[in-house]
Amino acid sequence: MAKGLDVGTSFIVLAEENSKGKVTYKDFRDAFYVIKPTTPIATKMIEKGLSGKTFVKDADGSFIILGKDAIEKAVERNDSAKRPMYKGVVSSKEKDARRILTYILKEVSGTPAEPGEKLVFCVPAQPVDQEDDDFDVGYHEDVIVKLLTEVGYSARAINEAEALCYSELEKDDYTGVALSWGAGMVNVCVMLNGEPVVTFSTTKSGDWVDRMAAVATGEADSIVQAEKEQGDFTVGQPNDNQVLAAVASYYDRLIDYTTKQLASSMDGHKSLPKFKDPLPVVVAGGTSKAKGFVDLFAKKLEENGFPLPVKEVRHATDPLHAVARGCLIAAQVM
Amino acid sequence: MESNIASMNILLYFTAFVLGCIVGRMTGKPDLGDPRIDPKGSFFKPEVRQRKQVEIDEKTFVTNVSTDSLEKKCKDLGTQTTVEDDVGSSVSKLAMLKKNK
Repeated sequence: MAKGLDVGTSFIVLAEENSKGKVTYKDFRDAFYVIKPTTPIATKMIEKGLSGKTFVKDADGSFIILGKDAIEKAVERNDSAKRPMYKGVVSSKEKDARRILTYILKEVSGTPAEPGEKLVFCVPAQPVDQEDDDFDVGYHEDVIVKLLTEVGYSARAINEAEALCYSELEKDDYTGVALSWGAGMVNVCVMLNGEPVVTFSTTKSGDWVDRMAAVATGEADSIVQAEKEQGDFTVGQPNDNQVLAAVASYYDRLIDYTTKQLASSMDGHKSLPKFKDPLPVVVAGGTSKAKGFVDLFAKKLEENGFPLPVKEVRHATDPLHAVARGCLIAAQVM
Repeated sequence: MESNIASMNILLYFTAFVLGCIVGRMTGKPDLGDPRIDPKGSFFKPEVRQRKQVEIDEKTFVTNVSTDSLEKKCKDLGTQTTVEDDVGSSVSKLAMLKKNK
């Protein structure tokens, strides 16, 4: 038995094959919100109000609401939920981040079926649009390996976009390009016959859209995120709703920025082989689920001079679970 | 006499320049483009990663993180979905590809 774990900025997804031909995914929203009662009466009232929600009680008496309930509670209070991860790695901005992330990962991954069960989890690649010293995946990787080892797994990290290639490029002999559009980053992998030849990331993705739309409209990030996920909008198209109009507009800018980064980072790079056939480009991740995303991405890829020949741009079969599925495949081959 | 000294100097400078070029080419790093987009080996070939990467370990010491103080007040975390999906064919094909390399 083996498991795959997508440790994302916005979602944690566990994949496991429970019987032949069936895969079970467990999704959990990577967010928390802390409420600290000031009086014993307030404690009782809050605990009663949180009945049915996903939460834990801390030793200091505060309530830590987890997952989508945290976002709902934050929106209710016109506030923003906190994230244990920031731009693909454990957040250094939140003092509770490591503890909360540890708790969530332990709960989602569960106990291993046998001691030393293989588990592969994903990590982001080095970004091309941020200085090296500002970003390090080593510590993040160590934190997760340590906690999963304590639980009893034999854990190993894999590049996020490499995992996406293993999930989506089987019919293309594992040759093509994969982009994982998460909340914090866009991870890219160019693969040739199952070997990654180029991997990198960029640091603007769904969270950047939320942040910019929040600044433009004066709303909290959580409110923009909730509107974005529930509302009806098309990337780059006008919208009557002010928040969704801003989201649609910043999506357009994000795709333009990312395709320009792809072109400038890969153009003339000596690690890239000469591909004789045009390549499939696969996109996945929550950010890529917006209406019109794939079409606009394909258009911008061409406009901004993507240096490789493209056969098609397609969505992953299951964009939210594709990376976890790739981790599961890697764990089974390992 | 002076023209001979000038010629000798020119020859000396030229020889030093050529030697410098040769030594530089032999000892210098090849230009591999932006190092940030180097994949540093595949997941399945960590030895390639280790061989390529010779650098100081700057990782912070990972201390224990205790979650014992957190009292669970809910059922299991996460929403489960089960789908029909045969990952076995992907696993076989990828394993075969890796074996043949």
